[in-house]
Amino acid sequence: MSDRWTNRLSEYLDDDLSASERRSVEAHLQECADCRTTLAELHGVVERAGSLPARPPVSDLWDGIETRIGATAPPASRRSAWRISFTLPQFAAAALALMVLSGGAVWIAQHGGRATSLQTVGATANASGGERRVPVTFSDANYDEAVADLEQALQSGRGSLDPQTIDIIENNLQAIDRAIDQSRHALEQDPANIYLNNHLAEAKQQKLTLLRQATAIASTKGS
Amino acid sequence: MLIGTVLVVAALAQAPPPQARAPQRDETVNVQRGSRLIVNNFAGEVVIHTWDKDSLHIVARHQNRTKVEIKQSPSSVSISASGEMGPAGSVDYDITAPSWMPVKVDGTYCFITVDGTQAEVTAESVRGDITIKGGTGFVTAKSVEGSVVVDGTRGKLTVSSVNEHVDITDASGDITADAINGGIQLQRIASKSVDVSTVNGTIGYQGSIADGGHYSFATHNGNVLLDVPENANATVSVRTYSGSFHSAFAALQPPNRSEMQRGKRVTMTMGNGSADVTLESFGGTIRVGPGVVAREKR
Repeated sequence: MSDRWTNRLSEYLDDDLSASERRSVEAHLQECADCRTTLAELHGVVERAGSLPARPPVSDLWDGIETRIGATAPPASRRSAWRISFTLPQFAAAALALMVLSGGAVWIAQHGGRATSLQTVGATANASGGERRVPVTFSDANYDEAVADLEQALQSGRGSLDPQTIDIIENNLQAIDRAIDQSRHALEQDPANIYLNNHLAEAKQQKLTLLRQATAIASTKGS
Repeated sequence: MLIGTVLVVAALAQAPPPQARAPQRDETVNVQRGSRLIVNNFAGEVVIHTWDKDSLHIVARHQNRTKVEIKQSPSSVSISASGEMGPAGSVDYDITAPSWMPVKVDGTYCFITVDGTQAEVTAESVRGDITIKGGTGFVTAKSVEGSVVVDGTRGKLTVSSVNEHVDITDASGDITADAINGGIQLQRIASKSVDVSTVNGTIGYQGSIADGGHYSFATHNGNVLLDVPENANATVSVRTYSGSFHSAFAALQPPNRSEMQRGKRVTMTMGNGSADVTLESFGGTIRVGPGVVAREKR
C-alpha cells in the first residue's frame, strides 16, 4: 500500500484535490487494489455517517455561554466554510475522541457540571443601542490598579531620570496604549475572538513590564 | 607672524586626538578559575576582549577627579568608579579577560561590547548600545534606548531593547527577544525554541526549523518575515486581524484567503508538521519565503 496515495484518498473523496492531483490519484487507483479497497471503506464511512439521525444535545450550552459573555451568535456568513478531511489514522483517532467526549457529555448531563466562575470578556450595549463598551472584566480592575501604582511610582522617581529617557519611555508607553486601544476596539466588534483576547492581554503585560522596568531604573538612579 | 602661525598649526597637528586620553589606570590582576567579572559603569564605554591567560588586564581612561576601584574576592572581580565629589564621571574601560570568565556589565549611559567570551554574559544599559560576540550558557542583553547586537552565542539567549532594534546572528540555543518600538532580526539561527515579540517593529527570522521545536513570532503593527527551508517539518499557525499573509511555499497556501483576517487562526502543514510555528501580526504583513529577510534588510 502506498502511504503517499492512501493519505490523499480522504481529500480525493472530499474533492479537495487539484485537477492534476485528482488525475494522479485516479491513475494510481487503476493499479492499486489496496487503495481501491481503502477508498471503498471511506465511501462506506461517509454513507453511514450521512444516514445517522441528527440527535439534538440533551441541553444546549449556547444559552449559558451567551448570557455569560453577553454576546449574540456570530452571523452565519462569518462562520468557517472550511472543509475537513481526515486520513485513516485521523478517522480512528477522531472516532475514539468522539466516544470519549460523548461519554463525558452524558455524564455531565446526568450529574451536572461544575459552573465555571471564569469571566472572560463581556460586551455590553447601552439601551439606546449606541456605544458598545467591552470591559475585560477578569483583570481590568487589578490591571488598572497595578498600572496606576506603577505610574505613580514612576512619577515620583521622574526627577532622577534623564529627560530623554522619560521621553523614550513615554513614547513607548503610548505605542503600547495605541496597541491596547486598537485591540479593545477590535474586541468591541468581536468579543469572543480568542486572538484578540490574547493579544490584548499581551499588550497589557508589555505595558506592565515597561512600567516596572522604568520604575526600577528610576529607583536605582534615585538611590 | 606667518611663521608663528605655522608653528602653532604644526604643534596642534602633532597633538594626540582628544579621545586618546592618557590611561589613568592600567593594571593586571590574576584571577582564579570559576570567578566572575562584574563591571559597573555609570557612563562611558566598556569593551571586553578575551585571551587564554588566567588574568585580567584592565585599562581605564577617566578624568582626574574619578577614582576606579578594583575589588577582588575568591568568587569575583568587581570594577566600579566613584567621584571625589558626587557621582563618577565618564570612564572608558578596555578589559582583557580569560575566555572562560563569566561577565556581568551594567550601566546607565554605557556602551557595552563583549567580544570572544566562551562563558555567560549579562549586559544591561539604559542609554547605550550593546554588542556581544560569543557567549555560552546564559547570555542576557538588555537596553532601554540602545540597540542590541548579538552574534555567535551558544546557549540560552535573552535580549531586549525598548526603543531600538535587536539583531541576532549565528545563534544556537533557546532565544527570547523582545522590543517595543524596535524591529528584531534573527539570521542564521539554529534553535529549537525561539520566542520573539515587538509592538511596532518588524520581525525577521532566517534559520532552520528543528523537528519538535517551538517558534513564536508576534508583533502588533509590524511585519513578520520568515525565511526557512521549504522542506522543514512544521505546523504553521498564522493569525492576523487586519494584516495580510503571503507565502512562496506551496505547503503554506491558505485554502481560503478571505479566512485569514479577523484573528482567525489558519493552520497549515509543512512536511510532517513536527515543529510548532506561530506567526502573528495584528495589522502588518506576514510573509514566508526564501530571501524575505535579506530583502527587508536591503
